[in-house]
Amino acid sequence: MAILTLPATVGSLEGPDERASAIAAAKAGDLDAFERIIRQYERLVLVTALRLLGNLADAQDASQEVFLRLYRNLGKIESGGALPSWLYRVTVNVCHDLRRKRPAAAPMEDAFDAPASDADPQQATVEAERRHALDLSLRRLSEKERAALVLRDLEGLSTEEVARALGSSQATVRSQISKARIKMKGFMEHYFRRRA
Amino acid sequence: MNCREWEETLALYASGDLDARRAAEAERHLAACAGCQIFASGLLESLETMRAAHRQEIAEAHYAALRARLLSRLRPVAWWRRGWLRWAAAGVVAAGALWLAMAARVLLRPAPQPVVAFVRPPAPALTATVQRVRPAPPIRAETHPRRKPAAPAEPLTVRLVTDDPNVVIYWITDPRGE
Repeated sequence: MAILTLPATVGSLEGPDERASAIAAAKAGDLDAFERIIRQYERLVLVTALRLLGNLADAQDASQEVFLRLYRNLGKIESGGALPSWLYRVTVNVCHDLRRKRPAAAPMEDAFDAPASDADPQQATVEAERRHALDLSLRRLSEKERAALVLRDLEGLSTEEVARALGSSQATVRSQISKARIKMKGFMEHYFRRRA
Repeated sequence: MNCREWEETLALYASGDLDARRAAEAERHLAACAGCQIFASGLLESLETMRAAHRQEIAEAHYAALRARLLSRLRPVAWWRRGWLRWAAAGVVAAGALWLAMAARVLLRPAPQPVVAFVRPPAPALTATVQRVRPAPPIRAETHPRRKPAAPAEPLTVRLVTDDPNVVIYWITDPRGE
């Protein structure tokens, strides 16, 4: 059975050496180096926050807080390899705090790239439908289930990494993931059957 | 285990979250159960739909906005752009302007008329010695001396004897002629 995993990061720091030197420079106060780190991990943080919160404005606020915390805690980051795990954990915590402070999210449709003018309109409609279905189905999950599913199935973390990011045991995470997948399947089938 | 109970196992099997032993059990059940094959197929389809939606990129402008917000918080602000310093500078300028206005008002005011102060000299200390003061001679400054009032004069009586002894004339007169 094929397992689709997504690259969690898209950025300019390709190798571990380059990442480590950027972190070292940022620790020394080099803001340009910190900007390179932001570019490296902004997709990881913003998309994860968007999936957890369901709203771009909230996701941007959360992402800003995550990177500010990173800047303040650069001294505690031992290596570049530990950074993604740290960022996922902090993103989940920040989103959890934000969700407690703010009411339910508004739709996230405006966050995505507008289809190109020469794009197939039918394809654009299908993609918009998928985004809408994903958004609605994520809202039907509990906070823990949503976080586990986003990190495992959308961001492609291992069960062990998800457990570390959520501060749970692997058994708990597996249980949350399986329940979340079953709920998602039920909602998706219902959603697209009604549309058809 | 009925098919309902297999759902959670198949949900984990769908993304390789089972250990080898349990994965083999799930495969054996799937091979024999048409209902669970449909369930697993639907599960994979929903997962693929989710992932396809997730792969769609967020517009670059949103990342740029996030970066701009972040870096504006982190970059050191020039001292003249810092909020509190701007207020302090404005306060200093305002105080200077007020001081200049007051100085100009004082300097440009017309000169006041000199005021003569009457200062009462301190009273001389009383001394116990008594000086004998010779009285000053009377000043005779009278240019028109006043006549001394004369003592009342004796009336002048003139007795005139006539030939007739029975007639005697007395003439009494004031010697000052009054």
